[in-house]
Amino acid sequence: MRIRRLGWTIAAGAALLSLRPVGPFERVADLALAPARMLGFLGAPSLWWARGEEPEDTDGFLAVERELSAQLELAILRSAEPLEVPWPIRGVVPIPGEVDVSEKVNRDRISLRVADPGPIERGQAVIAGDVFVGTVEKIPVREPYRDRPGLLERALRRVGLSSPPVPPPRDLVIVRMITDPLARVGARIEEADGRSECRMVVGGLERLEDRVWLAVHNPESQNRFTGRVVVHEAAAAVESADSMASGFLLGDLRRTTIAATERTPRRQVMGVDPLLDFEAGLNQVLVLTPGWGPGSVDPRRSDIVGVLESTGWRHVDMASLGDLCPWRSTGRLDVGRNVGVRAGAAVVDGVRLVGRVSRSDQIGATVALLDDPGFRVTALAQPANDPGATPLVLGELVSAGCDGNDRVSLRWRPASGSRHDEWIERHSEGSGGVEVLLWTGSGMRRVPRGLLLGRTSLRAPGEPGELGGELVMALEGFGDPGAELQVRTGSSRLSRPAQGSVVHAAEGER
Amino acid sequence: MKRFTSLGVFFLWVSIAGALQLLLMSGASGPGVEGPALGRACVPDLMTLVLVVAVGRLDRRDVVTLALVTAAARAACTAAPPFAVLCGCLVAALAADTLRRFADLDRAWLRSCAAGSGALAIGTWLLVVDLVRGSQARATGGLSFGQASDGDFALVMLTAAVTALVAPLVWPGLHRLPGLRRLERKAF
Repeated sequence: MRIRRLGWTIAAGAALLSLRPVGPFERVADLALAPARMLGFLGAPSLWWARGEEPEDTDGFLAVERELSAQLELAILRSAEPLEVPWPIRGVVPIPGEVDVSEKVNRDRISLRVADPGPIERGQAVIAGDVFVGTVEKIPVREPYRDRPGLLERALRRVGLSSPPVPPPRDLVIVRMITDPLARVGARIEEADGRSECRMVVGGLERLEDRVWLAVHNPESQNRFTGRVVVHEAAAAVESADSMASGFLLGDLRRTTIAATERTPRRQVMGVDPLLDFEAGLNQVLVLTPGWGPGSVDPRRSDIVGVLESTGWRHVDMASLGDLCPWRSTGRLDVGRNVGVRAGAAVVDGVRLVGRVSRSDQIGATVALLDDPGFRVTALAQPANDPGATPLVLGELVSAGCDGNDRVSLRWRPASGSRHDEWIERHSEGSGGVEVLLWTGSGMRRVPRGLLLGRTSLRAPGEPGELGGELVMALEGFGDPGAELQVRTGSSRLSRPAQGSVVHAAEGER
Repeated sequence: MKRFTSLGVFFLWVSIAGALQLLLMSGASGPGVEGPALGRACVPDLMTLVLVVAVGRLDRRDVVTLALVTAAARAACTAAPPFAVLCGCLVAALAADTLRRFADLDRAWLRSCAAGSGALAIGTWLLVVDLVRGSQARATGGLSFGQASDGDFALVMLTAAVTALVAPLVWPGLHRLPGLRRLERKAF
């Protein structure tokens, strides 16, 4: 009887810890299970089913895919520079930065890894192409660093169950986006069709039922219903670094009527329909800093660091494939935290993404495969027949699992600001769809940009396959978990254009 | 010491059952969009089956220990959190033990019932944990993988049903697994 009571007590405790994970307990469990996991090799026969037919010229395929990845990187770096807005700007030096990890807890912040953090100061404007993104809020390495562990924390560190916080990287910059409730920027709609200029303040979000707009505050006129809204800050008046971003786009002015509800009366709402997806559509940005240096970033193919050339990849073997939960699709690697494999790390077959490490212990790691239902990945689409074209930023795709024909279904819900319809129309060749290669985008922890997801056909919205605003894509040619694999063990890669490849402002001033 | 050796042997048997289950699940597939998941769900939960048979055969004092050993072996074969696996194994073992208090597991329907309920308990619990953790991660923006849906309960039911069907067939074989004699209950 006592044994049964003990069993139920342990079960209740385990239930609590499984619903509310506590770090040190998880570490203890991993340590306790390490000997048990030594028998993981018994699962090796499960890999028999994964070994598909290898192509005859594996090296040739890999070389082609690496080159495609490099061309994508080049296209992304170029897409960070404005096309419509006059560029370069006299007295402005752009510092390129890659979105590192979107701070999902606070969706109004992004962290950037910049090429040169030296000239960057708080309040400087950040742009992506022609669009104003926000301002620099924090440069963590310049913030005072404090580590004052309490009694319990010190004890945990002593026995290896906790570790001191890692100092922030030197090239990290935190950006507060214009979507933040407290963010504000001066804006205006230019004169057009005989209508006068209309000034306003933009910042924060206006949430509607089916979309999200940037909120408009204090518009000069209530009679303007349409028009392109651009940043407009008078530098002398506000002494703001935003003034450097004057002329950059915010979006299109919209107005709609919201029906009355039980709590709120019928009301008119004015907002700015953004030109990009702030949540998952940011990849490469520029920080505008004052100065008289190079006025434009002009990346070249020779500057691109290949996605596999960066440090921090390690060859690994899959120890077993499959999961005892039938709704999951996972595998187990033969190395873990002992060689620096951490949760979230990308696992690749060549440059093809196979999955991400979902959990890492001392002697192994569990990998969530691409066909694991619920697997999320931020993605870019590149026309299969035009690898140099500006890629379409898709944002987040969610895997719905593998079908019986060995294709992974990916669900995609275009976000506010997505310009996919224009892009598809531009690249489709009469059939209404575009054959595209899908690549990983920025913003995922320990997953570099430019890993191949596979090949699919991207249709225009409104055609078969659309489910309530959601498109379902059938992905082919994705990574094989039974192939030779590598796992990412290092820090984020940065593509840094060499100093010689920048164009000076004098060559093409605003 | 001999008990520990027997527990080690039991761990080996459970691990082999898990490896066999993984092998069958990796190769299982079916037609249509839900084909692979349905195929995987048609594989009986062999690890639970070994646990329930052991609970039916061995000393009742060892119920918790057997569940712990099974959880250790099972945690190496799944992406589910170790504590969730531990809880599921304990519940399955204690449920089988409860059944055994009232009747010896010597009839086919009792064996089916014990194995099926064990597989159902573990599967349902892991599904609940996946659902809860997934919704928490989406709310907080944490790193999460896997996204169970309410419809996956059908997969759990299917696995439990297959396990229950298979149990009477494999029970005699599993009942005679060598190396566990030191853990057997004492005769009156």
